[in-house]
Amino acid sequence: MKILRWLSPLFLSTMAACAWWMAGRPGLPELDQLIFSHAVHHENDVECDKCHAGIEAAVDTSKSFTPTEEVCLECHDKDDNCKQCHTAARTRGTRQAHVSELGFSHQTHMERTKETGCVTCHDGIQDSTELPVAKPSMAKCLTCHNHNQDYAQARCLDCHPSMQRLPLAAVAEFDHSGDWMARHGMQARVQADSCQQCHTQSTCSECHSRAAPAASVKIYPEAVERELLHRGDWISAHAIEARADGDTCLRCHQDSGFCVSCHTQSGLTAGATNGRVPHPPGYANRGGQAFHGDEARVRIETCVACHDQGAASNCVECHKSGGIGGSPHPPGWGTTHERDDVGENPMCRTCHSTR
Amino acid sequence: MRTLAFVLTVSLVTGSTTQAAEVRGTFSTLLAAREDPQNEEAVASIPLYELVAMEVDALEIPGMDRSRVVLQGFGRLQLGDDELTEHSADLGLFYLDAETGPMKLKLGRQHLPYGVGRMALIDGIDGRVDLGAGFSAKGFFGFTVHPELRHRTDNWQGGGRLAFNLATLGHLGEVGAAYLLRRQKGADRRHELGVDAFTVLGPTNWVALAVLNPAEQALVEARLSGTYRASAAWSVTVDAERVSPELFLPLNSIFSVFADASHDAFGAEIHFAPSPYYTVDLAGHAMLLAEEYLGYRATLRGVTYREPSHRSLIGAELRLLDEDNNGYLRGRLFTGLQLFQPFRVSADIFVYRFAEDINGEELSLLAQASVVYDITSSMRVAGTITGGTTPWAEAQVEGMLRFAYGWDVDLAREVGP
Repeated sequence: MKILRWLSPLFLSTMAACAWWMAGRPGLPELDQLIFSHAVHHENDVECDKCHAGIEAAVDTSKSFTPTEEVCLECHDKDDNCKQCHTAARTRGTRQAHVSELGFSHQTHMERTKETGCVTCHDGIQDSTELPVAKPSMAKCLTCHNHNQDYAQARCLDCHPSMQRLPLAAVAEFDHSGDWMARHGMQARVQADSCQQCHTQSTCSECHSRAAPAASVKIYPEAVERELLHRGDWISAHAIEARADGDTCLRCHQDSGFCVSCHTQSGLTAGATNGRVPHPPGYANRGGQAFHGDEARVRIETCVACHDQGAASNCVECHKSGGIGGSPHPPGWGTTHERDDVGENPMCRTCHSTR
Repeated sequence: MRTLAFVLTVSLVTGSTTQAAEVRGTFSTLLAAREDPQNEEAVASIPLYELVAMEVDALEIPGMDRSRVVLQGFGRLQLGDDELTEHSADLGLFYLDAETGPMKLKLGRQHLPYGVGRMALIDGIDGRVDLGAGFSAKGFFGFTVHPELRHRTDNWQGGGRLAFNLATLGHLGEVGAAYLLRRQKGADRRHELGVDAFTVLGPTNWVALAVLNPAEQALVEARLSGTYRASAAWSVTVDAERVSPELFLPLNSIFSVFADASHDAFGAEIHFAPSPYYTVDLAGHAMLLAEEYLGYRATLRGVTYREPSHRSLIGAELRLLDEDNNGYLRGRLFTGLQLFQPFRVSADIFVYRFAEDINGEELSLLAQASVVYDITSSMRVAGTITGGTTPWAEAQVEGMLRFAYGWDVDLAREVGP
């Protein structure tokens, strides 16, 4: 308990620090913004390429065409009144690095939009009075380009060559909001190609790899925003989760020995010293609330989790012809299984002869 | 696999016509120890682990339009008192991903995420080809991976998926049919046929799949999910699923003669994000066992962010699970705070209230705090301490240290969503 004495204050202090920090949201330090009006420049008949020189020949977005201060000073005089152009000159920092995020050729597009000009894509920029100016949205691209087929197949890389480097923004059908953890498997099975636009299988392997040394919740404990399984006191909760939705467990832990191996190691199996039998009281009594036959019919995965699945399964010691357990087959079995199946299926021959 | 790994490695390292244009890698060293509640001695809960994740992009391979190699693996070192007592290493993934014209190819150790592959790990080949007219076909074959690079040649699986893109008909979506045959120890372990569909209808999108066991002519699994996206601020998703025991039992398992029930779940989820500073998610599902009501699970989660980039946040979560008069209520508070550029701290606290006592205890409390320091843009050290009281330990404490490093490494991705 000693650890709790200082762990609790540590945790509470961290939470309090975060609350204090978050409360400061309205008081964010003012960052420098350039005071610039496209509208004023447009009214004074300044052509776009006067400031964005060379953009008409750009075949990709690797180079930034945002004008530097030197370009401004070609027309404007530099004076001591910094606030004429800067909102907070004291915090003025270096320009953010230009990141190429799009496979796009201004050259090709400007050749085709000579009559309508830059506003064909940069809609409304001639009326904008401040910075930053929003880049054309993807919807604007789709007014000319028919992307239906690309979109349905999630062929993004032709235009977005660097998606793996971008944050996984919510993109229509492919976003990751809400209970994505529960739904992502089904999406991947139907649209695996979509996932691969942004992810390699390394992402999957963080959780799904059979060779993973530890659960991702152990490897990335600081990633509190991520939806990860096995958080918190999983040791206590896992039995409840398994009983409520054992299917989900078995999607990853498919080996019959997975549960029993850990339980054996922890001395929880029946054969261990001070072992804990997992079967509830009355499981051997027919008609009881937890009679094992009824449980096996509806929760076979809980039996499979520990018991051997081979022909030597302890079930057939009793459930066999002449055994005290009687027939193991559920009602209607004979209507869906032919007698001739016995010869073809080794499982049947555990109890039945082929004659 | 050793031969395959050798071929891939040699082609990467020495191939005169193979050139790596971009390499990204993350190497993480992990070490965790906890206090043994019985004797208060420190024991290793995670021995010395070295995790490696590498992507070699834009390889120039003759005849290929686009190529990359993905590698993920780990090495483990368990130190004894005075000597090395245990060690191991394994490959999680190691595959070449190449594309030429209408064909795509993956060769090596890889997952099978699509169709009825169920994320199986194989050493083999997976290919895709566009057949034209909206049709495409995928196929795979490989040996089922077992830990420690071992194989059994009679443990293999093969299958594929045939898809038709609805865009050919002027509609967003795709329908497909998938097949899988998995053999183990010379016998059929799994034999499945699946059909699936994805489509967008106005502001809604739908995903559905059904998997059949052709031998038993039984439904193995069926799932349906539909999302109505009212706006960027909120959406509603409804989903339903049915799972049969065939999904979990090998075809040759004696247990299949006992099983006679389906597991169902249906429910809805609401996602609400009124601004870049807040998100609220509410999900609830009813569970049925053998078509009788079993219980429900529900989650309410709210997060507030300090800035639109979501680097600093505070969140709260409530999860309620009720299953046949058993279950729990879990409360969680969590926070992540980017104090300034190289420093990030996070804290997480969980409180469980169990419907039935576990080991005589009704409550469980675990708290966790982490400090992350980015030494450089490609080097990070993170420390975490976890402690609390649970039904199994009156007081428990665990500490973990992680050191991540690499080149051209995108650390935001390492901890990203």
